[in-house]
Amino acid sequence: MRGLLLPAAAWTTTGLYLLLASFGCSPTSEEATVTFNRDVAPIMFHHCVACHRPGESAPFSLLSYGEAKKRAGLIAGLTASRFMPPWQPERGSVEFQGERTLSDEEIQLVLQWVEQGAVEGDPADLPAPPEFTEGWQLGEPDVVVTMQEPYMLPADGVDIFRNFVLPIPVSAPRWVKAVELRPGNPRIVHHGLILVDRSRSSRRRDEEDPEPGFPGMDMAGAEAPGGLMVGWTPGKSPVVDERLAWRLESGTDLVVQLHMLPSGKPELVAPKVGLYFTEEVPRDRAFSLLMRNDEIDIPAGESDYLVEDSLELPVAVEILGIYPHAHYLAKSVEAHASLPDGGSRQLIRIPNWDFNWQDEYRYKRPVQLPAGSSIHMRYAYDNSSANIRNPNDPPERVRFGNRSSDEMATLTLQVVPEQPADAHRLREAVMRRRLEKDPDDWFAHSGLANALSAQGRVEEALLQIRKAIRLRPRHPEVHYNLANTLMVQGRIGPAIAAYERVLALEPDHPKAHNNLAVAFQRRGQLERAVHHYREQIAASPMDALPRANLGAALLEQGRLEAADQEFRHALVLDPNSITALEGRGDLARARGRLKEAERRYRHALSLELEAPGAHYGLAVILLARGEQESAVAHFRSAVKGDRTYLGTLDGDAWRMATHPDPEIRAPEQALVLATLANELTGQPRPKLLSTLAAAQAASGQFEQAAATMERALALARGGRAERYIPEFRERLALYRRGLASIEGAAPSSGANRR
Amino acid sequence: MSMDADRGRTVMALAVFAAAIHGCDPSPLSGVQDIDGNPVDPTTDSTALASVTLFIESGCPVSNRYAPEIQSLYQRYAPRGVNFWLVYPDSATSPQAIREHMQDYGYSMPAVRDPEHALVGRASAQVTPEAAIFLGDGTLVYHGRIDNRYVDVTTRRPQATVHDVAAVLDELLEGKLPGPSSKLTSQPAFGCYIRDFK
Repeated sequence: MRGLLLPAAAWTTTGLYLLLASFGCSPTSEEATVTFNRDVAPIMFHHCVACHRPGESAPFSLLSYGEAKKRAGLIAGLTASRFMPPWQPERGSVEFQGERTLSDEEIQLVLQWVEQGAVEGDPADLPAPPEFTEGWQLGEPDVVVTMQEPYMLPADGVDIFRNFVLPIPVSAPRWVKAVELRPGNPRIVHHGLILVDRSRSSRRRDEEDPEPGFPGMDMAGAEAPGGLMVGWTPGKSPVVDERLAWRLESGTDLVVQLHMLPSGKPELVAPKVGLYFTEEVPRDRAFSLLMRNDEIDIPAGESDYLVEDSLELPVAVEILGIYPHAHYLAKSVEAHASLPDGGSRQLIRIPNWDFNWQDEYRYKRPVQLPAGSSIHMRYAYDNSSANIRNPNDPPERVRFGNRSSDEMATLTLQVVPEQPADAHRLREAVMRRRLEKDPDDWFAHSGLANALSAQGRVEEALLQIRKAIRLRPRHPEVHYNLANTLMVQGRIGPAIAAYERVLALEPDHPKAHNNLAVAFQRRGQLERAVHHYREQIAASPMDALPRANLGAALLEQGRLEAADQEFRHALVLDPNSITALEGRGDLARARGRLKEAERRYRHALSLELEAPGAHYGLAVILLARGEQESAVAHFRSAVKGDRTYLGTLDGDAWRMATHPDPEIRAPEQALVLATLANELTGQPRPKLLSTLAAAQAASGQFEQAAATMERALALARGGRAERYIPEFRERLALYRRGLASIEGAAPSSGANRR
Repeated sequence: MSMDADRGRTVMALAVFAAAIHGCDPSPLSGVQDIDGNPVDPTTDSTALASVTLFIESGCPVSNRYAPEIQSLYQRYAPRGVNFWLVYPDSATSPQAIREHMQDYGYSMPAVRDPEHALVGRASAQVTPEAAIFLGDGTLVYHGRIDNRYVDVTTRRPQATVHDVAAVLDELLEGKLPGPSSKLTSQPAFGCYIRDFK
């Protein structure tokens, strides 16, 4: 008899049903008060059939009486134990959207229905079944991304994680407001994660693996899009939230990581992803805060291993969603926030973690946390043989890692900071916390550098990036970060060296050629700029930006026809390419077609309010027409959008003040430009002052010119402009004699550079 | 349920035992036919070492996941004198549907339909998938799970660590009979309830 005793765990489901079944061999004929049509169908329709219908994730349908009756025992047992509908968070404490639970009354009704023989009831009682949108839930996507060949999931074995790489056909950056994943074979896909990869490393791994995709949970070069968690679980509707829009760059691959469960027969898997774009740049943007503790080392047999972490929030935030992540050994997961006033807010509590049913949860009402709140996470793991889900039998030591046989403890929070600019301070806090735990965390140094750079704390950023380089001298991304930071500082020479290091380490880095070309262009090394733009174009032929940039460089070289070709090509790839539109404006200006140029600049500005190149070009035209006030406003906008236009202002001021050709020389305009440049520069700079002096002299204001030049000389001593001192002295002498400077050189044509 | 655990378990065991001993079917093997409509008795074959009947259902995910393992057992033991039969107790599954199901899941052993649950009763099968092993003379020596992959219908181990059907067949092949002195006992199976298929 002992062999027939049922294990305690099964008591609720199997035992319950067997108890019901054992009394009599056929359905009881007593008066049935609970019927399918009246009482159970509404429950099925409301809570179950989204998945339990043909073509969806569940293995059988529950739409009709016949189908439900066939599963009556299972329905009774699995709803009573609350295994179904699947919902991991503890009921009652925190309210999430889309909560999938039955009330106690509903569960009782189902039980009674089965006890009474699962009768159908009066057809008149049956409500209309719910209607579902077929196909894409959000309507036709703007772009559909598909796999070239389907993957064949084997019939048997443990569950499989596999990453499928799908190139995205966009030629210009886009804001993605929603993503819908159609798994293709919903019955065998347990959940999916959508990642993006600009680094090509996922594509390489895919090529190395003979079958479509490549295995594992390790993300390689892929990352969460815009830092957001974009996932798919059965029965979940795709989320549309403008605050969650993320920027998709051209040349990006989509990586769809699927968790699949063999079904007993070989299955074809060919997921499709629909992308939905928005033209509006989201104002309040959400992003992901990732808390983690990688100090995981669970001895074999340890049944209560705790992993905890905390993070203090320097700014107030609103939490939209939460995504706890661990692997098979986790048994309970909990997170809460402690507030500065001593209060506490539960964020999530999953008392019985089941890796197969992991999900991301969105709050019904976002959780508001004031600055100074702390987030605490606490995960417990069971690595004993009592844990049925232990992948190892007998148990083995388990450490932190990406594979499903390793363990992890991460908590992702989808947050909106109260002030948009605070996002960088939050990222800074996350990275600093990581460094507290591990000062050699190179990724945290690099991430911290980015966060500091975004806050304008460039010197501190450089310090961090150098630490990252010391820790990972051969990682292309840290050198790339360094190069970008140096560019922001205007240190073009060192930036060029850093970009070249990036390319030496990773010849097909997705952006380095373009940025290196920009650096060369800023230094006036146009041939090298053209060369690297061409390299970038060869690497990413569908990308409009490097073509537009190439056009600008060619324009600067005076190769107008070639520039025109590139601008047109860029506009074919992306009709809204601001760089190309500005470029065509500059081209028209260079050809003297001022009305056409003005039209093109205004068109660019209609698409992007802050397009610096368009502002600048338009300003020049307005100034020449005598509309000084408007011109100055546009010049200000140009410099505000891109400070390198200060240099352009200076160059154009110099040209107009000193050009030998009287047609080009325009002292009044030069004065406007030079005055503005000196106003906008912040700290007085000798070179800009000297240009102002030249403009004043050209306007006949020789006394002012001399005074300005004296100031320039005084500032130049002991600084970077020291080498100009001899030239300044010469010019000072000229102005004292009542003579203006006349030059032949044209240091700047005003072409925009990016 | 207001019963405490121990009493509950005892009641459970009695209920199951009662069902096992008495069964529910009046006439033996009524309605058991192969998919061509011929009456068949899969339980008794004096020329075979044993007959293994596997109760499965075409729409049950637990049952379907066992298809590769069932097919593997067939390939290993059939050449050694063991009969294998698939048994479809769902009366609503037509012979054509069975043929398609077997093709989809790679089954190559013979199949029978058991719409009146005569075999179900003889084998005391509760769920799909479930195995019942008969000696050549039709004596039932094992019924229950195929292996211990499932802890309950919702929870699976990554790999089975006890292979019950294989162990019974191995004992039989060694000339031993599972009996009171044997370490093997019938182990409960988990899956979709056969009772609901009538």
